[in-house]
Amino acid sequence: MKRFLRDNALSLFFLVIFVLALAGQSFAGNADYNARQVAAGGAPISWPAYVTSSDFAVDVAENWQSEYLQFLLFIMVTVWLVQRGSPESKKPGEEGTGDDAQQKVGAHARPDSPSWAKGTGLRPALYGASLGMVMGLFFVSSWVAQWVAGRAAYNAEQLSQLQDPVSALEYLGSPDFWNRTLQNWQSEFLAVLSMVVLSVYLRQRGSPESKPVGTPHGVTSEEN
Amino acid sequence: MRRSSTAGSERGTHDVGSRVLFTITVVVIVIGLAYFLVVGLLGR
Repeated sequence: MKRFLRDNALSLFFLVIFVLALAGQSFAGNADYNARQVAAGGAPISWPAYVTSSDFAVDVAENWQSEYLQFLLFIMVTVWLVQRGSPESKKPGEEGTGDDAQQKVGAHARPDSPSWAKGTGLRPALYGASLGMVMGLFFVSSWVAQWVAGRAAYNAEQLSQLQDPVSALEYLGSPDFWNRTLQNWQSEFLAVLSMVVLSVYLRQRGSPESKPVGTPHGVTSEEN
Repeated sequence: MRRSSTAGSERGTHDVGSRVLFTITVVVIVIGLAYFLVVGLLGR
């Protein structure tokens, strides 16, 4: 048990704070929703009713999709684009997917390589793209969830104001959908930009996200 | 955010714990996405 906790501390830490933050969001969101309901002359709803509402669903989904997009882009774009000096980047000149020897694929696989990396043909190709594919699937799924739940929440708001509801396609082109989408995207893109650029010149001793403290600015982590 | 390293000390030490956490993480995400989709489709 002790070894399990030590070996998986990073994952467990984020799993726990994810659950706590989601629970916190559900209570804060419920209170905010009820305050708006009361201000508009409506009736407050219970916590179970709120967490099964499209208002809660769209608020969570819009954040999930932007996080998955952030990591999907970072995973895919760093294959081809580099930033000299950033520990998040490969060295300039190493752009691309690399050859089989570098990737330890097929005949170059080690005895303890994943079984799908040892084969030839489609299996190693699929396995070599599995991270991007799964993150892409999570991104698209959560964006669709935002679309569907967002429309339901938007239409509930419209009906409460005696306005016409919108179709799914109309909602896809609505300011509400794109405001929710882009307000999350811009913050994720800024965060990645900050990470890539700041890590060239700033250090965090002991963090794998940073270069060692004494590493020159123009040197990427792979060259250490 | 960072590419995984292939430090020698990690060689061959994958264990049940990380597989369990992998499964839990994927299940949480998939159930979450399905839940939000269903809630949205029900239009509550």
